[in-house]
Amino acid sequence: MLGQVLARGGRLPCVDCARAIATSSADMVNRAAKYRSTRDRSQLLTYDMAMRPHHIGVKKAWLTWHSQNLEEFRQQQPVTLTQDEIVRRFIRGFFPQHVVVHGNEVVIKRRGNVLFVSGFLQYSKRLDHRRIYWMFGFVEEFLSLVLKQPVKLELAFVETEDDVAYNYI
Amino acid sequence: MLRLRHCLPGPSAIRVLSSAVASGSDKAGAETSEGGSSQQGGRLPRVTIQPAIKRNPTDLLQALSDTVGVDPTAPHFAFIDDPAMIPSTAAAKRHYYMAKELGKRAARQLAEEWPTLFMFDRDYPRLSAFRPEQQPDPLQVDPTEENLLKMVEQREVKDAVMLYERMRSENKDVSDSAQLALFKLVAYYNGENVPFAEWEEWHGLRNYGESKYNEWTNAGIADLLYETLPKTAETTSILVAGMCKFASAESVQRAENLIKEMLEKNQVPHVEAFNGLIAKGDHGQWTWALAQMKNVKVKPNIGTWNALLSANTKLQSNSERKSHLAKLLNEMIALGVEPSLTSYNIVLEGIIDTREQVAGGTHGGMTREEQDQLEDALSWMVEIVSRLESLPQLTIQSPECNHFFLTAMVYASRASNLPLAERLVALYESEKNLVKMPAFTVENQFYTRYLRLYIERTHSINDIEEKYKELVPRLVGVTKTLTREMCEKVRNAPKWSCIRRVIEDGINSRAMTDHKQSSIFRKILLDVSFLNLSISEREEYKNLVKKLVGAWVELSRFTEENTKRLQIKMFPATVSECALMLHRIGESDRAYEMLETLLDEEAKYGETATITDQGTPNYQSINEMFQDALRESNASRAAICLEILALNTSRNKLEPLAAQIIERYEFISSKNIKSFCIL
Amino acid sequence: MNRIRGVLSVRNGSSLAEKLREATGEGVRRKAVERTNAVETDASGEPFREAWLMPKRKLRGQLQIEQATGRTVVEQKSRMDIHERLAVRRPRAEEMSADQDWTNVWPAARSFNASVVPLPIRMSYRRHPDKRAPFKKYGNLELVKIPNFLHLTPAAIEKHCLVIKKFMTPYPPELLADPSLADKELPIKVTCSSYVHQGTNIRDMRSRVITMRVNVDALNLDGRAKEKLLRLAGRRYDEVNNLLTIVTDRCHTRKQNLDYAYYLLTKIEKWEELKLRQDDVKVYFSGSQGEKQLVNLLAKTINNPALKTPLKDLGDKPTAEQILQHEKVKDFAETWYKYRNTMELVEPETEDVTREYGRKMRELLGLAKKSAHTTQQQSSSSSS
Repeated sequence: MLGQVLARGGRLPCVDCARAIATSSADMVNRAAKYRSTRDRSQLLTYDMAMRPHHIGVKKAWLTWHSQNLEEFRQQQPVTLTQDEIVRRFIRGFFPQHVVVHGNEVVIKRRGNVLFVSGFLQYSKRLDHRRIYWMFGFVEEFLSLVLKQPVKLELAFVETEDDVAYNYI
Repeated sequence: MLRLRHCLPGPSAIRVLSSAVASGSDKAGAETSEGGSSQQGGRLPRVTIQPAIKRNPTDLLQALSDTVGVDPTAPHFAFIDDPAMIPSTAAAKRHYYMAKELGKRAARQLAEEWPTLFMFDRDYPRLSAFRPEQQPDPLQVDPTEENLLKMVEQREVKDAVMLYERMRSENKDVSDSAQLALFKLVAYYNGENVPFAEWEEWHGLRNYGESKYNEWTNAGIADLLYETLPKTAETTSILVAGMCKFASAESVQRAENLIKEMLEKNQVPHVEAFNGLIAKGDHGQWTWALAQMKNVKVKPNIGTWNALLSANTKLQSNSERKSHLAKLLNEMIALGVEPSLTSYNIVLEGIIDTREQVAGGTHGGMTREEQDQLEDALSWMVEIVSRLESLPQLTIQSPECNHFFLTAMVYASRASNLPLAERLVALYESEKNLVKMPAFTVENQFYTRYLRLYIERTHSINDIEEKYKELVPRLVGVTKTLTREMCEKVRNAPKWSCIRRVIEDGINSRAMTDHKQSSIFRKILLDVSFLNLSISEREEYKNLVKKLVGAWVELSRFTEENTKRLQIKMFPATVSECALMLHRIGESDRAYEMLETLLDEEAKYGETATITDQGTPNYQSINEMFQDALRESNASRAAICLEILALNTSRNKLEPLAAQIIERYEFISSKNIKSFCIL
Repeated sequence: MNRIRGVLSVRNGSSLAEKLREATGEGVRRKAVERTNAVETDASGEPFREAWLMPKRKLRGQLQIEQATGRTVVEQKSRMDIHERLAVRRPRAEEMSADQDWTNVWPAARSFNASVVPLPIRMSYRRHPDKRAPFKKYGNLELVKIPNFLHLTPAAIEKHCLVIKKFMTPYPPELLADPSLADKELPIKVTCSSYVHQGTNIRDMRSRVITMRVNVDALNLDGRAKEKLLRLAGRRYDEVNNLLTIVTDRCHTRKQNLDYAYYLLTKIEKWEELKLRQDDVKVYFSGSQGEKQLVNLLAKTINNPALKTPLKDLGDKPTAEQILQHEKVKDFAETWYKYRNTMELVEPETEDVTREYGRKMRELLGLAKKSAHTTQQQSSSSSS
């Protein structure tokens, strides 16, 4: 569970890796954020998906950027993580046709009081400008009202999922 | 997370300290003065620290934001900055802007209705912007005066009226002050809700909403309140002003009578009452009102002047109108009253009496009289613009001030006076101008006229292209007329980057549905000499052609019942020209596939028809392809071309072509060919 | 215009071309499979009616296989959002001129947008650079993730600085010339911190803390006061730099803490004012009882003709100041001070010192040197 959460969003950099006995079951640890290859190469992988979790900070950057992992901000850390999770689930649920490959790749940045949501949406199924603008207005306003801070969407558009593909396995 | 360290030396403190030390050590009477006296302790620091420059909390931010200029390629900041999401036409801008705003409204309504679901409370200080409150329902809320005043404060006119009527029906006493406040509100808005142009919260509706003009409701709530309140000069003036704002013949007459009554009772009407009557009354009424104003010695304000100007624009005779308006303006300036932009707007609109003509094109059929009027208007405009350029700042005096720019630009474009138009644009965009037109609506028209005038008057294609790229689509939405005019210019001076831009904008603005425009595009593209383009430009040309052809084909393929309304069948000329274009860029297979559809009866008359049965294919294009096919010694292709021609042209033109084939292919029996030619 | 109408056979494609192909023999490539349309009949002449249980159309699976292997052409159906798709513009980075002002395009911090940045940027790791092309900037999430500083180009910073300068006053030129002057002229340094947060809460308790550093030498305290100050300061005093550090956080606001820090410094000096003579570390001659008595005595001796006091030259009825200003009296005052303050602390009380004291006294009074007995008597009577 924790592994999935870590894989999707709030990745915390591993600072001290002390040796310990792994008490969770063996398969829990090794399957997160790893994708099985298919027979007909239909599994599309983005760069983010293709790089393994141990490459975070090496070959791929974080999806969330906040300062609440520093020692002075321990109080706000759970709040921030929860806010991130709310935003991710909301985006994934609100743009079901437009989201790219499961909708995990949403970048959340915080600049002062404002929360910026970046990422890519695709319009291969149907491009309806009015619908999209309505949804943008709704999501920005709704998330602002929920989180009590301005939320701005900086999502960019891509024609098909193939434009963000790294390889197919 | 930032840490800011301040080091404050505190010179004043050291003086106090030193003097205190001095008083402690020297008993023989050391002075504890600020100047610091005696020994080493109390001396002034020998460092000159200037006092800090006073600034407001937001001055620094304002100064930083003033450094940001205009990005010519960017859309308006309300739109999503993505190539797929930038609106090209004015209609698209309207749709997207309103869609976004309606989405915001939906979210806001949800939060208003379910406040318990939005209770994340970690913000300090508490932000009320994220906690919207529902407007109180007048039928549910307590009928107290406090609630009534709150509604009046929020300018919820109909709700306040409903609450008031409810209170009256329950025989509750309402104090005079509350009634007066309600009366003022109702008289100002004639009992209707606030019109769109005065909305504060929802800017999309404020921009795009159109409120109906309504006339004064007789025996409405305003009249009722007037009767119940003690009749002072203030209340009567308010009523008069309201009646004239929502003028109908009856209300203006009543207004005049009210003013007469006030004067008989020796009450002094306010200046707004006089202004209303002057603006909306007929000749007799407003001259009388003016005389009365002088009698009672009410000082005129800018509104009076504007009212006088608009009254004088109703005069019938041209020369009289002109002279009166000139006299008024000069008098204003002589008295030291700076005319507002509204005044200039009224004057300009008043000079030319047939406004319907102005709305049309630039030079459409003006009569001698209209031309004279236009010249007059222009001479006035030059003076006005010179005067405005000399002012230190242009401020808004009334909501119609910004219309001046549009009216002036309309006249300048009618008279084809580009330098004046440039001066107007420079004046509008200068820093000292604080009067801005509403974006997307009025500003769009302003810049469209400017751009069209510029295109008309400028010779160099480079300049035209630069100006076009600067204004479209940020300020000017692409329209059919604009595309047409640009195409004209581009045909005379073919520059590939300009051609590409114009055609792409045409695609974005649905010009492909227009057959005429499409054929112009095809002509332009066919006239482009491929060899003169650079390699990257050739690539762009190919992509553009493929995109265009693909779009036309796709538009013609909406053959199913539910999508029939979108279908635009291709004309045979379209098909032939598309085929030629494809052939030229090297996609000959596709080209001949298209040509074969011309011979396909199914395509014209079948159930899934994609080609209209009107018109004929273009002779030159087919001929060119025919010649190319012969050169390549491709018999089938040549045959296809010949057959198409055979269907559509007369016999005598066909024979030389047939002869050409025979030359190439000696083993084909000429009889077969000739028989087909006969057919 | 010759057109064929009402032809028996429906024309599909060019029949002339086909004829030509046949004639020239090119049509061999495209040999259509000839289907025999012959109908089988059984003995009684009835046609064989096949029982087709399968539908006449191709099944979905079959179609998919054909599409995947490329045997059939997938019929492109027109999508209904054709006009929306046609409204997609070209990336505006391609429209930008080379001499535009970048500070207008990217004025504030923003996530990377490939259609706005005209630079050919690539990002992401390629294990085998020779096998994989460089990554494109469109659709590149890595570029979006990292913070960029496109809003802080040197041109932008220059613009901002020029604007901020208008709110700034010049730095004291004396300090620029001689930085060490700061320690002398502006010896008090107050430090406070502001905290900027990500999030909705702008308050931070730590911003109320004030740190005040005072250069003790600049206070110009004499030894006694300084000693008192240092005793009170304790561990706040840094002997190496002569720096007294006061950190206050006991009040709620920064201003209150600042005022408290200043109060702490000045309080000591005010307390000094309350100090009485009794609290003095040393006894001073001026204002002492001995002084008063001496003045009275000397005034009498001046008038007494029998005593040959050297103060006679002051004339009749001299004032107290004149007496005190006489150098002999000053000399005596020094001896008196030394006798009172330094005895037993610095020097032991010896007979010599006492004798000296007595000698001075007699000199002042104009008495002759006497024998041991009378000097003893006189010294005991004249000392207070």
